[in-house]
Amino acid sequence: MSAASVVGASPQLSSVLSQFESLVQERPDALAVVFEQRELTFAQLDTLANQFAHALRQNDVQPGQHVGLCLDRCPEAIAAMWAIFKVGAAFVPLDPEYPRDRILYMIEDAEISVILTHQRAENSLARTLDSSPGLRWIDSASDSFSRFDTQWPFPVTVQPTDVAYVMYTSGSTGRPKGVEIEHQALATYCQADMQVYRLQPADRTLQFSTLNFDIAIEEIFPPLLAGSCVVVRPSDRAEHANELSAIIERYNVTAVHLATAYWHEWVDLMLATQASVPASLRLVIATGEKVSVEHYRRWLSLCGHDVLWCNAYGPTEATVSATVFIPDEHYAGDNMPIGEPLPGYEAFILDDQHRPVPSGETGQLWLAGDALARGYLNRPDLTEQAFANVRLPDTQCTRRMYATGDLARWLPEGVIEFAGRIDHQIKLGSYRIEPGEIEAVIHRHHGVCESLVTYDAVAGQKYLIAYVATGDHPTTIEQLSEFLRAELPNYMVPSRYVLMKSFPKTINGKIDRAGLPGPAESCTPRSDNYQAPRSELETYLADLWQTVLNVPRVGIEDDFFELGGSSLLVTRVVAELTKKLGVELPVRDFFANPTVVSSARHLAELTGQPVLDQAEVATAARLSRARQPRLQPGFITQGDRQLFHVHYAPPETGQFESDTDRLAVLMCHSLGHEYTRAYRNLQQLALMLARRGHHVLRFDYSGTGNSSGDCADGRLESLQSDTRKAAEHLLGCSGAMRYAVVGIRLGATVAATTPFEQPPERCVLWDPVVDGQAFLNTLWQLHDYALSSQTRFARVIQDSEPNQVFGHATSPEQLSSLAKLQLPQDLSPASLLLTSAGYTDEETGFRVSAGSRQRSVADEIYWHRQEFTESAFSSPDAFREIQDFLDHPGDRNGVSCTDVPFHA
Amino acid sequence: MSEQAIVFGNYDNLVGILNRPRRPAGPDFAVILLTPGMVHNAGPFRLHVQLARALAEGGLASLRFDLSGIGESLAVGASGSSLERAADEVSQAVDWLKQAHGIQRVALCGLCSGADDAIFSALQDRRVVGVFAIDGCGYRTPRYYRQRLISHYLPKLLNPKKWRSVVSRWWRGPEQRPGALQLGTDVREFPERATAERQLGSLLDRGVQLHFHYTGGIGEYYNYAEQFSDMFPTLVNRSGLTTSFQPASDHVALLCEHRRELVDLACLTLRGMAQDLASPEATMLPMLPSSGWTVEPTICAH
Repeated sequence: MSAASVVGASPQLSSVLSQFESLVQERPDALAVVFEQRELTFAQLDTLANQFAHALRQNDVQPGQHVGLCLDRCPEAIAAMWAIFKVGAAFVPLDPEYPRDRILYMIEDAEISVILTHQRAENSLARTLDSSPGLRWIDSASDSFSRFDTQWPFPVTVQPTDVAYVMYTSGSTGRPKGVEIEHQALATYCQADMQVYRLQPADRTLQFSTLNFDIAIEEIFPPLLAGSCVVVRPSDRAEHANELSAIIERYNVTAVHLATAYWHEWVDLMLATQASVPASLRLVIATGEKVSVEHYRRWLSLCGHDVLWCNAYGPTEATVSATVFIPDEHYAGDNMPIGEPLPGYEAFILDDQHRPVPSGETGQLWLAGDALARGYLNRPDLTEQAFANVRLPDTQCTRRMYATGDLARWLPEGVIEFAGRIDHQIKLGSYRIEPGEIEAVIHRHHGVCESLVTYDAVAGQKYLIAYVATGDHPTTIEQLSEFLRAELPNYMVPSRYVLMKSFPKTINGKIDRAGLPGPAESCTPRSDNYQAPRSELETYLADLWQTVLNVPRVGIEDDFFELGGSSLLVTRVVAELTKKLGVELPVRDFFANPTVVSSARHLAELTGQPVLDQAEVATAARLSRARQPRLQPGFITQGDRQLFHVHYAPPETGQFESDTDRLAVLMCHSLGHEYTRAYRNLQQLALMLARRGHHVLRFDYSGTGNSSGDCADGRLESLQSDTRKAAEHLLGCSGAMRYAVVGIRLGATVAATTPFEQPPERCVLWDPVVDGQAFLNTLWQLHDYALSSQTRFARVIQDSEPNQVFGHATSPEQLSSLAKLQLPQDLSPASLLLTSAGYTDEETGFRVSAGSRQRSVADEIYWHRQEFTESAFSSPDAFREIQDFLDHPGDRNGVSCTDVPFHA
Repeated sequence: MSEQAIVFGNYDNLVGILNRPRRPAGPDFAVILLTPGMVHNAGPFRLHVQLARALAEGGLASLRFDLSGIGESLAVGASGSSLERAADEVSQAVDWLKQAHGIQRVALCGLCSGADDAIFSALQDRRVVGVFAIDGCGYRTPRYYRQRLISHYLPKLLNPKKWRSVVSRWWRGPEQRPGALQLGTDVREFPERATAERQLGSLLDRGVQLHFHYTGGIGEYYNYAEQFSDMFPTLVNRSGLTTSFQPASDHVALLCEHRRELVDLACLTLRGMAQDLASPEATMLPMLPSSGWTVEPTICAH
């Protein structure tokens, strides 16, 4: 048995760009990209790429330069990649959801001066990256591209050693490292991919991954070079529990590449719902983690037709996949091998002295071939460590190889079996995490002496554990978790912690890992009212909620919605429950049982387990009610109008400051469908704040909700006077001396412009409307879409009554009045400007003045998109920010602004 | 007309608004408006507010309230299935109406899951004497499929870009998906068709007046005016049962004119129910003949 397997020689390949351009000539009308209702042929994709290339050239992008690519999955993203190649540059995927420092580092490290993006990401990033004023942004969705020539008359000769893209991965120094992939590597990989997976022009490959993972590379380039079509995952994707199957069926997808964990989930979901593998599918590639053989067997039971199923393995440093295993339907091994090298790749399993290990013995897996990366950008030290010239066994030849850091062994049948990590690099889902990167951030926290990050797994679910030595410093895990949450992506924030005075050490002075406490002794950050689960079912539910809501910990009395959950997230929980427990739970059952304890009781009842008798249920319900705020709904008389309101008073059972000391909170809604979208969020926020001791008043403007009047009569002045009246009522009914306002969208802007008799002490402006006319324009767009799209109505509506806009009667006077609304340029220093993901506004040039605070949160709302006009949304991050701001307005780091632009 | 916000229920967790007319048409009758899905008691685009005020103008009291966990009403972990819990809370609402205002007979009005709750509650509580169900239960019939083919699939089949996917879907049949996973809405807890027919028959036997109104927004299971009689042939010509179909409207009556038509129809129907209670021998309103069911001519497209 040879220790090396050289499956295919590396032929001289033309660049992927020249291959693509040949295809454009040969198959101009063949379908290249499908995205929702859009279809682009190869010629159209090339035209778009040419226009982008002109825009890049106009922005002085030179060959060899790095261009930031900050786009969601869409045809423009694919065209942008080709455009960047056409000008001889390399693309660098950037994720706008990453923390500011991380993005800044990538931009600086790659010396990016131009970013191809879309408006939403630009607004979000531009606000974040205020310290990079030299950046130029190109909006990929801009209509201005149509003015560019559709031809590209400036061909650049791409050299095999030119860098095609830089993909950042987790780094052990606390900074991510950029893997430089050259064109020859990309071409080699594509060729191998097309050959092994038998790609053909009739294929339709799903582009499912975000662009920041190398899976996206294999989803895009090989299928296109095979002359086939890439189906981009639709952006509206929460309507179906089995989203993947629905997409495959809807678009007749034939090939999917999935992270292993996701593939496992998909198999389980199909099994739970008695669904079959979609008939159109012919190729499935699972990659990223160890495949469960049991899931493969389940997969076979779900497959009613021939599907080429592959287990692929490969680090980013080898472009994408380097080895692949294709089991037959009778595969009976205990472990799923990672197979043999792809054509053009070589694999070696060597010992510490770079000598081949005998078959069956474990060594480090090394990879070689033309698909290896050039190295790490600006990190010659790391490159030297990871890439080495190694002499081939029994020859005088040397090969440039990459040390994967993975342990592996050759099996007798000539395939490789994965045997774990050499170092302690951690794979969580699709993420590869270097513990050192997290440890480096932990060390920046005041009082931390040492730290060690590792992981544990329960029922196959991995989670990170941070061991932290703090000496005598009184650090808490809540402080640490909060700090890390602000510094790291969510997936890198440990969910469990062990705080110690000092670490046990080995005789060499290294941390004695074996001497550390076990995972069972770790704790998670907790709220003051935390109550631990008491049963297996409660533990399962608490863990499930924690995962879905991405919160540090869930106690049995925590309310799903007060933690920021929405009906959308409920569907995810319900899908899990259907899968695990075999119960089909109506969504509103969840609304009626929103705590772990009540949900567990309800599930037990549904599954026929012993439950409490009626008297016990009644007692539990009374206790639950006693812990909740007191509700005082009513009407406030405002001239000839009656304003509906609900006063949420703190629970009688709580221990709070006196009413006069405590900050009361007034909540201001938006109008129209935005009122409905945000209704539950404000109501649940009110409950949460009342539980914490605040008196809260939520009210409806006249002509909205349950207040009297017609919505067509509302004017800016009446909205302001209603707000003023509601504030007076709040102070009167609560006995509070001071209050804050939380306004969302139009409610935020109205609150910011209302001349209060007693101004609020603090003001939260949550996705405020900057310009009233722009707000109305959006409503008109949504209205027109509803009437013309044939999605809501069976036919195009051409003769609807005038004076109505998206569900609400209006009037010329009202429209004229609201059009004048403008968010003040000078916000109060006691304001928090809170913006969600997907928040955009037409207005430009607005500036957040010195002293006011700004915070971008990851909650996705997308006020302007027609497909979400009736979607509930989750707002856990916004809830946390508002709560922190009301309780500790001066304690937050990184939120104070110094005259920075609000919009780019 | 006066409006009163109330907190009621066994655990003081249910919130609602009582709307009382200046001149009540009957002393002991009220309409209860049930929440659809996750929408709170004002209803989609204030449908319930408009309806409550129109009912008050016609002399009928109404109570619109949120089921526990929805809108302003607090979840306390009450036991039972969704339908059982809703029926229990409707009974608590009737208890409150009786205690506070002497009202002992109610008609229930609900959209979507609110319609399902209304029927189930009527089966549980004999104080329910009428139901106005909007986009309630439905079952596909042979004619439904023909209609679906002509008005829904055929235009797409004639579209060259769509024909392959349409044919593919047609062969695969209706997509299987767990009802509980409908985005932001609710599981539609339709009973088996025969069970539903039997339940509705028992309500009619009891003298409960039923009106089923359907919109064009539920084309996935109802798409022609006469479908109700095809779904429930044994109920044809039963006294106390009427239906209507509003094909131009979407499920939540987005357009003001559709909402107004719906409110007018509901008011007329519910007032008819109230009149029937006050004077059983009185002549019914034109749209509610004493025998059989009919289709509201001003709305039906057929």
